[in-house]
Amino acid sequence: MSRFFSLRLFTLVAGLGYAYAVYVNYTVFRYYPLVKRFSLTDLADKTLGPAMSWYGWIAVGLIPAVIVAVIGKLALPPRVLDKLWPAFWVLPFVILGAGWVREKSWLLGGPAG
Amino acid sequence: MIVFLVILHSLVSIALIGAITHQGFSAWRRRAPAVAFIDRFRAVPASGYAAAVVVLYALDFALGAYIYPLFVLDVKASLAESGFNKEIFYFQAKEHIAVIGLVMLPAYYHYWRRAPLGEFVMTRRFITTVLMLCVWWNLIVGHILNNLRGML
Repeated sequence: MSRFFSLRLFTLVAGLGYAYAVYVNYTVFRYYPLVKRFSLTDLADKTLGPAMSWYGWIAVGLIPAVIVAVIGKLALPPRVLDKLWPAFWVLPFVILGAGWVREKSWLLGGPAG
Repeated sequence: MIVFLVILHSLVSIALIGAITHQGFSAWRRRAPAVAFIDRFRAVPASGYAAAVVVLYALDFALGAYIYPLFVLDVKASLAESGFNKEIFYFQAKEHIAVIGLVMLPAYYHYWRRAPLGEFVMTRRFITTVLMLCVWWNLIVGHILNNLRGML
């Protein structure tokens, strides 16, 4: 599998994609647990209960990550991938920063958006 | 069924925390005779834990993601009604920290099982430490909130 799939590129793209999705609150779908229903659009109906964006944020990271991991493995020489290591030191903090932006209102008063 | 899944989620977390903590401490260990308890604790073949950590983390994440809607409807709503916003923040942080661990897994596996063990030593240590901290945070916060819900 690793002949056709770069594990390192997958990590970077999935992490950055998730951080972006959280930061701008972009999701490809929402889940409404009260009615057990997925929706590609924000239904904005209080009778449906709370909407969950988390699964959609993860999808925003994972979908391009799979594509880039395959193309990157075929297109990039290993020595280029070997130079990516500093990015793994930064990635957790990027995701934490995006999460802080999304969730800080729980600490600073009022529920998050 | 959901109680069974919550307990299974906890049990897998405990197995995971054992494996990743052994490996995390071992990754920072310098070669020396293991005399004290802490030395014996980390005197393990660290690379041998990588596959188990990946499988346990993925399984634990999947279980957590499956039972998460129930938390949103039941626990989070109760906490919000009672004004436990700080506790909700900690759980929301768990949501993002769990994803940090998930996306780091492929790179983690690469540096432990594909890259030569003599290279990228600090990166391997860093990723393993991040994963270990993610698992500890998630277990502690999940456990506290589960207990807190029982008191509401």
